Amino acid sequence: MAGVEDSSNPGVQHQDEKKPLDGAGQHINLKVKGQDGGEVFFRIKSTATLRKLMNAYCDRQSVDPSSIAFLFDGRRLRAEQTPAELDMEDGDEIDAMLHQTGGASS
Amino acid sequence: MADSLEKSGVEIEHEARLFDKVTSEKIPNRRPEGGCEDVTCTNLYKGPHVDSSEEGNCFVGVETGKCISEAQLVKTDTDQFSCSIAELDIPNHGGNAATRLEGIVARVEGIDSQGVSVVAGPIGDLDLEDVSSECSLLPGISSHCFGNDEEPRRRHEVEHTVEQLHPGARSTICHQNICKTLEDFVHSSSTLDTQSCHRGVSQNSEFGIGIREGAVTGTVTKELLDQDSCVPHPPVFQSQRTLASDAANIRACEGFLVTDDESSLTSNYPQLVDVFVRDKTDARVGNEFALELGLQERADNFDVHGVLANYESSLGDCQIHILTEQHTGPTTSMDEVVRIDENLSKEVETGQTEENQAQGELIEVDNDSSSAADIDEIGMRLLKLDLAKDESTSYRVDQQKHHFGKGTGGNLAGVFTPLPPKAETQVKNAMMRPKWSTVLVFHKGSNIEVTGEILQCLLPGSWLNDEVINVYMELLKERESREPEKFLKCHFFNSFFYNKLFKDAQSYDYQAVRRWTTQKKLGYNLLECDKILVPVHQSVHWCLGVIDLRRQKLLYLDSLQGRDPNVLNSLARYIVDEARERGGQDLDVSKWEHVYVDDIPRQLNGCDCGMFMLKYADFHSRGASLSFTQSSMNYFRRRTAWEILQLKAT
Repeated sequence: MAGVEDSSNPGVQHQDEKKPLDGAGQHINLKVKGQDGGEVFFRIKSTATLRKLMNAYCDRQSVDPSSIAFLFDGRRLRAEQTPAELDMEDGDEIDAMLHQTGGASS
Repeated sequence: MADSLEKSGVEIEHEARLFDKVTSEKIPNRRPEGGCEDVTCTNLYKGPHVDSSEEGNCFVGVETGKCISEAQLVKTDTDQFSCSIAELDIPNHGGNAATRLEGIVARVEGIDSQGVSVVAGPIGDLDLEDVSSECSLLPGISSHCFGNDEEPRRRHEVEHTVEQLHPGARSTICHQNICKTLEDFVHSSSTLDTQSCHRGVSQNSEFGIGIREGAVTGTVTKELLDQDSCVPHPPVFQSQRTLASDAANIRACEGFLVTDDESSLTSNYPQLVDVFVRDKTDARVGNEFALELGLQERADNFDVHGVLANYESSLGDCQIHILTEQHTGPTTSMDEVVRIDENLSKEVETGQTEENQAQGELIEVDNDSSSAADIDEIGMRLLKLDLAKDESTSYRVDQQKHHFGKGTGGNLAGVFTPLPPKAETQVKNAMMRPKWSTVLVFHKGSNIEVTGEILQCLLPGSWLNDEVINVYMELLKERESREPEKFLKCHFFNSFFYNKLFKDAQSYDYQAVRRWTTQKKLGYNLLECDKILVPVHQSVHWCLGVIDLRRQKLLYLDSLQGRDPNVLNSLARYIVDEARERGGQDLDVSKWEHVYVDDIPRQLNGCDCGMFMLKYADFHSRGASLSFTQSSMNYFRRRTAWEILQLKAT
């Protein structure tokens, strides 16, 4: 059973979570929205960690995971967190933001 | 003691007048006509701001908006490099040239008393080999990529390359220089700094001398000058007299001075900031910058001596920071300094001491009409005073802050208190490269892990990243929650808020942030805050938006005085929508004033905007006026790093 499915590309299967969690987790659909407005939908077990979702998103977008900050309602997400502990609901949106740096005006 | 002070005072007064005269004669008020051949050493210091940049001849800004030199811009051609290469900090100037020259690598070549030549090329053309060969050819070089920081990786590549070639050198291509040995320092500082007033050598890993950004500076003992140097030694070293007059021409610069003649310091350098005293027989280097530059151990080993004066005086913003060294011996005490300082303030007559607290705390002096000369006099006499003190093996730098001309309200206690040496060491260690992948602290509230790599953006010259900014914003909030009576009730958004609200889509979108501020998430109602602080990331620049709910104002604070109406318009709409969403109330903001605050501390380089932004937020949260300047930024960087390591802002 896949921890994360990239629902827009159902053929891609990912490995199970390392830490098996109790089987009560339901699958929910989450949307990851990039800064360009692009959206990628994922189906994830609510007790699975977000790591795979993050990695899958970064793979798909060909970006380095360390260059992206994932936010849920403005709060940073950690890879170890699960949708369940964050009270995520079906259809919730995660923002994928590029890290920022600045020193002077362009 | 009093007698000697008296004497020195007279002497200094005399000197100061002399300098004023020299200054007024030598510095033209306007840009000289003609090409760089016509530019003399003197007016390089006080040259015009950037006003054009045509290929061929152009005027480019060199360093911090104060020291501008005229230069020749030609296409990249490494063959033309002969001796020294310095950095230009063109984006600092924000003017036409900054735009036109964005994304180029500029190198200064062939500096002499006649002017500066620049070799420049697009950043894309920067060849790593090129950089490295220059570096190996010319130790003590700085190369500088700027402008296009959309390519941070590329910048890192360059940094890495240089570091590999120069192990031990803290290579910092962007905004900083490399200097490996004292000789390098001598070469580069003697060529670059005193003559052209470039930002000079920012560190010397061997000897712990350096020149801070914005620097004037660098004179070195003649013995240290390498006769075989390919660099023509500038005439300023030939006599103290010349040097002094050059120094006098430089106002509001930061820098170090290294000299073998302590006594000359007191009389000859009324305008210099950050004075290092260095003995010709043995290194006696001291001051916070030894610490800043990662030289704590050295500083401890040295017999630290002398006075470290760090003060700035400029026409627009008179501020004196005086760093004095406190000795632990029974004969001297900070009280004495304070007492004498009081006397001096009275002598100046225009100064009224409002507060004169214990050591290390703030001394406010209301001083509307005091001239720079008066200020210098105070600084120099304090300096003299400390020089007269007995040496002591243990050392501790204490700091007094004198703010002139700006009243400050609010809670400013401890804002400028120097970090204890242990803290300095810890900060330094945390940013060492081996620790880059180490998670130093984890901030639970924001879920942010701060690694050494993230924290190192607080090294002088580096650009601040979002993680540091967002953690610090959280710490400011926690500080307020901890001591609500001392700080205004504020909400601090993270740096992504404005991206979602407007910037990414370039259209206002309340829905994108609607769920960010529920009472449940915040634990308080956003609309009950006094102020809402919004970091704004403008591509490569940090600014701050403020919704002042009490005064019904919207503020935009940009350390480079930019204006972005989108920010204030979006924030105005936001607060209306938020009021409707949370309380169902209609808020009328049509009368709210939109202010692009220009009476704020200004950034004088191309790297400190993030630090300015954080301090705007810090001071706003204190309800204090923004009574700091560029000169405090490196201190603030270390302090911020320390506060992050402690996960506690104070």
